[in-house]
Amino acid sequence: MTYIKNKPDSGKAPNIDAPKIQGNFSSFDTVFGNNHLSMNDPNQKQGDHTTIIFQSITGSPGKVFNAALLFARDAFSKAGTQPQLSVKIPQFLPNNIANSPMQLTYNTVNIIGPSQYQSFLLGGYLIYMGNISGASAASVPISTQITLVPAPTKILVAIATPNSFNTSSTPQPFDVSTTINNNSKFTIKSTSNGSRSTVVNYRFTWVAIATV
Amino acid sequence: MTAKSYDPNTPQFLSDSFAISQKQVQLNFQTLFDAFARNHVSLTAAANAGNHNVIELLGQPNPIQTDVGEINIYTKNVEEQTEQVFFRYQGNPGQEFQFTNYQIYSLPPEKGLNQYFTFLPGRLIVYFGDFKGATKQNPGTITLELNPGIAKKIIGMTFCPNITIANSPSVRVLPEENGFFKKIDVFSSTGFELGPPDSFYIIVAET
Repeated sequence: MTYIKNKPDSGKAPNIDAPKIQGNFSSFDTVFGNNHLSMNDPNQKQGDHTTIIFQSITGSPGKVFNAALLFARDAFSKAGTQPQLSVKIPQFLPNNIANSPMQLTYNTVNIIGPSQYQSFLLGGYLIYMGNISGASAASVPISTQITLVPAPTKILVAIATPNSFNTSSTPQPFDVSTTINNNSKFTIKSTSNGSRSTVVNYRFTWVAIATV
Repeated sequence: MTAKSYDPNTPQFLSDSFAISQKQVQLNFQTLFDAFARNHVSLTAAANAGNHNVIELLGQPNPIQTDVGEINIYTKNVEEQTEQVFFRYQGNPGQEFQFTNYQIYSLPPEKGLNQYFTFLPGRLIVYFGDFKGATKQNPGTITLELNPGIAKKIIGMTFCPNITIANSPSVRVLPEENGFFKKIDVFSSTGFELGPPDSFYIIVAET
């Protein structure tokens, strides 16, 4: 039904405008029922939200006082432009920094693994975690490349930790370093078992942070 | 009858004709319309009426209570900060935790240093980036400055060289300054090198 704000008309008999008034009440009830508990909620919680569907907005809301704003707007990432949930809090320290909205979400996570997982951090960052293992060839340094999925715009940090020991008389953890190759790949390097001819199994756990 | 902003007791008398209550009824409809337009797609929109275009969470003086089957998101002022977003899980006393923490912004790169930060729910800040280590021309300890300097307690650190092949550096948190831990010394873990190698880092702290 259509919501008509300027009803009823003055002086008319109730039976003329009554349907329009009923229409307004019905329309309000129907629209309010989207995202909210019904006006006739049996538990007297009408007005509570059952879900919140955000219609994407453009730009940034204005100044915020004594409140925080949640909203959806387009965010740019390597995967394309898609609406993401953003938050804007009131301006506070540092005072010379723009009070910009902060991106809260990303459109995918990977919690299946088993060798790579992915989630997101506030501010438009992706975090990837994983592990890689294999057998080091005798006397040959390890150089194994990790490909981040989904591909980010830019890898900022790639940290690897050895889970393996060499075969010296006093076994030591593998040394390790990382090199970022491009926007979605980095390489884990290690001298592994050094110049020893013994083949050993290796395993590294790693974490990387990238911009969406 | 004088019309006021919103009067649910309208029409006031069963005998009222619309000539008496018309203005108040119209005002009630108008007030409902205007109030609903805040945060929502308009009642008269052709599509998506009832959906939200923004949610303005006004600062609450106290934590919001929840019943079983409910979770709550609300805003509350935080001492030494500003209004921040909080969550509370079902059932009092469901755990309340602070979700937002600080204004995220880009830190300009400095010589030999790329630094970033974000935060995690629970009033945690995550510093991450990379720094250039010691060189023959500049041997010794590297002092890494945490920016923004709002860490009240360092709770986790991890470093990894990004040059082949080096030992992961060792670290030492420098004494707090006015209640905040702002600097970390990074040095060679073996003592046989010039100093720490070029490295990536991730540091998690309470604020």
